[in-house]
Amino acid sequence: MTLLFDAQLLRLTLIVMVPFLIAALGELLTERAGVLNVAIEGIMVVGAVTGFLVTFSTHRYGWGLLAAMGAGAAIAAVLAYFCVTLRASQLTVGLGLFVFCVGLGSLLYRIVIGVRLMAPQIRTLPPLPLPGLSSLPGVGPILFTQNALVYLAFIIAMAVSVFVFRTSWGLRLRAVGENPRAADVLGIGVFASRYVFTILGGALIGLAGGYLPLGITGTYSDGMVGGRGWIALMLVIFGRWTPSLVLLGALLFAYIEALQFKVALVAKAVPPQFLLMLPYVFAILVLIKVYQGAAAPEAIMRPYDREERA
Amino acid sequence: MRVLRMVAALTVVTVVLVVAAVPPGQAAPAKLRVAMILPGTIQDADFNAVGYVALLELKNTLGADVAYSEQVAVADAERVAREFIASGFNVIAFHGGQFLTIVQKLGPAFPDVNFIMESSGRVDGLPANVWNIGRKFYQGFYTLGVLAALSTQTNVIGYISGVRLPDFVASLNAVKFALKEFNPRAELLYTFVGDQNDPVRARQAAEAVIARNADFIIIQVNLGAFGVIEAAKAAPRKVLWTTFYTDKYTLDQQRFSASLLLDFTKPYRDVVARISRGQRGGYYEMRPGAGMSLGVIRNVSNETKLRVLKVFNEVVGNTRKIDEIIDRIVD
Amino acid sequence: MTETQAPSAVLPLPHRPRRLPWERAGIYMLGVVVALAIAGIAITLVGGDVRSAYATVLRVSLGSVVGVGQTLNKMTPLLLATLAVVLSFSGGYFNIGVDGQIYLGAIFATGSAFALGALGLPRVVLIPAVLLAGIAGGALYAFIPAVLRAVFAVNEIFVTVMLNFVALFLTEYLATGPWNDPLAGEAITRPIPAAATLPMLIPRAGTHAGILIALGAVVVVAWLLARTVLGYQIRAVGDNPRAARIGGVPITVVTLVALTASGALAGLAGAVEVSGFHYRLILGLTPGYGIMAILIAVLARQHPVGAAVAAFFFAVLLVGSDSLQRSVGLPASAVFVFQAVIVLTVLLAEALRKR
Repeated sequence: MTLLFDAQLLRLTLIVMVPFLIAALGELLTERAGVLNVAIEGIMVVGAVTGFLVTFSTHRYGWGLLAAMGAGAAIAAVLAYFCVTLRASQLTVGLGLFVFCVGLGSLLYRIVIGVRLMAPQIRTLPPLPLPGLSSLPGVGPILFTQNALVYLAFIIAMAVSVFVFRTSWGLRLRAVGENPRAADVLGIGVFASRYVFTILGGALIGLAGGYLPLGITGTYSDGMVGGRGWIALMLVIFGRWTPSLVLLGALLFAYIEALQFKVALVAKAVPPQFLLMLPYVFAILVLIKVYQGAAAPEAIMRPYDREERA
Repeated sequence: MRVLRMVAALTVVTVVLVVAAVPPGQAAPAKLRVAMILPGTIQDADFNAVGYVALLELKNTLGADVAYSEQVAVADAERVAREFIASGFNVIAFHGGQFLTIVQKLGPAFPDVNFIMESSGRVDGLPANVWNIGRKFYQGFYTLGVLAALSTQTNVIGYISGVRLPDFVASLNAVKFALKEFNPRAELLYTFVGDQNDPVRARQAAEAVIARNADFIIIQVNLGAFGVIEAAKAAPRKVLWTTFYTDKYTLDQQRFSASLLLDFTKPYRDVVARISRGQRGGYYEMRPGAGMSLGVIRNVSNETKLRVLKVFNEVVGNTRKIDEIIDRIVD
Repeated sequence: MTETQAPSAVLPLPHRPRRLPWERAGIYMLGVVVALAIAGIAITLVGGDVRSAYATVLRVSLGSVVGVGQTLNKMTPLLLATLAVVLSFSGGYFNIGVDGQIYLGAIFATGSAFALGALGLPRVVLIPAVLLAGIAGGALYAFIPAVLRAVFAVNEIFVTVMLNFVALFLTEYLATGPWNDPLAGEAITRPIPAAATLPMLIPRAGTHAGILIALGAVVVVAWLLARTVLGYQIRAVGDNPRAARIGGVPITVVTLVALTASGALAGLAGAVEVSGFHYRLILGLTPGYGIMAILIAVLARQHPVGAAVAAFFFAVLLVGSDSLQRSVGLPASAVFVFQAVIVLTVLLAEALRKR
């Protein structure tokens, strides 16, 4: 049992879960509006580099995180223009933007920082003890002394969940993603909604990218997003487009990943690569178990055209 | 048929553009012209950056014309090399061992061009116009093992490596030998995280060894090092660490202990100088004393520093031999 | 929530009016010209010579036998990967796991080359055997998402993406472990026997015979989709799964065949890369061909012949623009931005034209 559950393991799970969760929530909002954002990995790269560069030059986390969100929103706005206004293929535009962002992130770093032998660095976000909880004996100091974004990620998850399922705006959002024609007839602005939620989702994805240098590494390096955007995209499917299940999926994935590194210190007979495969294989196995024909929003990837006959 | 028309038309357009735009070919000059092909970006402050520095050094000391191409995938390297050759470069340097097949192909195809590649030891049957720079990491890591053995308080040492390459296995074994000799009670916790450049995964691995009481971490990942360094900062006790390739002292002045510095300028300068003297191919070993040095040791006692330096010099002078075991991890 | 809805409707392709290929090519060319103009301004701003930069782009990709030969080498895996995407997308199946299947094809090809090469078989036997092994490897790997989709209704996008990660670790294990070449100091295996390597098509240019295999595959896929009952059924499922089901199309069989055949093509790409180019299994064998293939396939409207044309131009774009690193001194990242801008302006031109 001590192998499977200890406070250190849970703490690490929380730290690493944050980018998965925030990015997946951004993607969820986007997809709920009927737009698939496959540029997610690239937007996280741009979020990471702008978050790092702005924090590095202003010494303010707030500006860095805002810049990461702004950059993510800007890229998402381009996606929205192509896919909502021009009705271009969401898959191709998204992949094109993905390539664009990966290049852009690296290029921005080259322009601002250049070629050095000492990597410039920022301080990572300081731990913020939660009053009361953090003084619990044993687990308190470890579990409830996290950086602010860890708590924020949970708050965002709750907010998105309440918004999507408990508010009339959320109902409209779902209508736009499921049946834009009916929504339009009811007077809901389909184009405006898709723009708003694609851009908002992009901002969250950018924030998730910005968290990597600010919360985990203190430096920016090319390739640091390392496929985490793709994982977040998968978590939306895994979570069947519901925030609570996405949260569960993010926790589970981060937990298995963290556990795997713990197991790797003990299980020396197994080649390390097979342990590294574990989170991915595990995710597939869980999905077989839980997946009972849950479907994407009906209108996802379908551009809406007012004149087109149904 | 429509498709055929489209193909035909595009071909015509292309040919016209080519004919209009292609300038006359250039003749290859006799001057030393060195092109380097790097697998990653030169802004990494690590493996690729030190390769780039070595290239610039060739320009400064030998007056060679230099050029480079960064982020070259193995699948593209042959093409890039051929491009350099076609535009008159007579020394093509591949910064890494993954380009071995390409060197074996291009060497005989371009007998007048010189090639440089990197590997972890002597490679049999290389073409006569190929210089092979063999990197012997394990000899340097042995010294880092000595430093860890003498510095640990908890007697738990972490070792975070990336891809389970044979020379990294040899390095891990060398560290184990060092512990056995200098601190037999110390336990070594090692992980291969499967990627040299993923700082998030490296941080997870580092947190796992710190949770097991480690207070000294030997880092053998490249950009992944950033994650390990942050994990050490967040640790409940003081955790020292060492890196390789470049000096990463500025990243955490309180916990940095040493860095095994890889200086490619000397090997490249020596090799290119020999090429210009007519020695077309051969083997150059990069090891302590030859392109591999120990940076300033910090945050440990003077006594430890002196003992570590003494060991390093013994390795340099070959009075201390270390076994190179690449195929298994010793107990 | 629409939990009752059939899973086959997950992520359908947008329906589009058919457009003449001729007209489409014109739009694409317009997009490329606009992108070149934008990039030209950028190159001028950083102090480069636009004319010589673009001249270099064309010279290295098309201006010489060597250039064309190398472009064809680049086109080969791109085209095979694109055909894999075309086949699965035609049935409405999103195989995002082409990269993983390429790796599995490469693994099977390398393994069979080691095993059969040790028997001293002649080249005429060994090469087809290695290619078939690659096909089998890719097909088997794609069979996993195929079964999960057909039997358990599990989203194939999810499974294929996850399996990409697994394939990378499996490759790393083999390339650094049992098959490792200890002297290279990287994640690469020992070379396969010379008798298992593809012959050269243009030896002077280093062009291997893989392009012929890829073009052969174009014919096979075109014939399969256009002239066979199976192909008709795949397209029917892709156009409207519900109507296809009502029309008596055996959806389960079609799903299994379409995804597995798609993986087979990707596996062939892996085998061709090993046998024709690398002569080894290498970590980094595919620098994202699967992703590029999706772009190419959608630009080519999932038409196999169109895919060949688009893959060729994509290869020219990749090879040519990469030379800007050397001619203008652009960082590699700027080249990626340049390539993406070209793709995006092409999409923009097309979308604006459609309005």
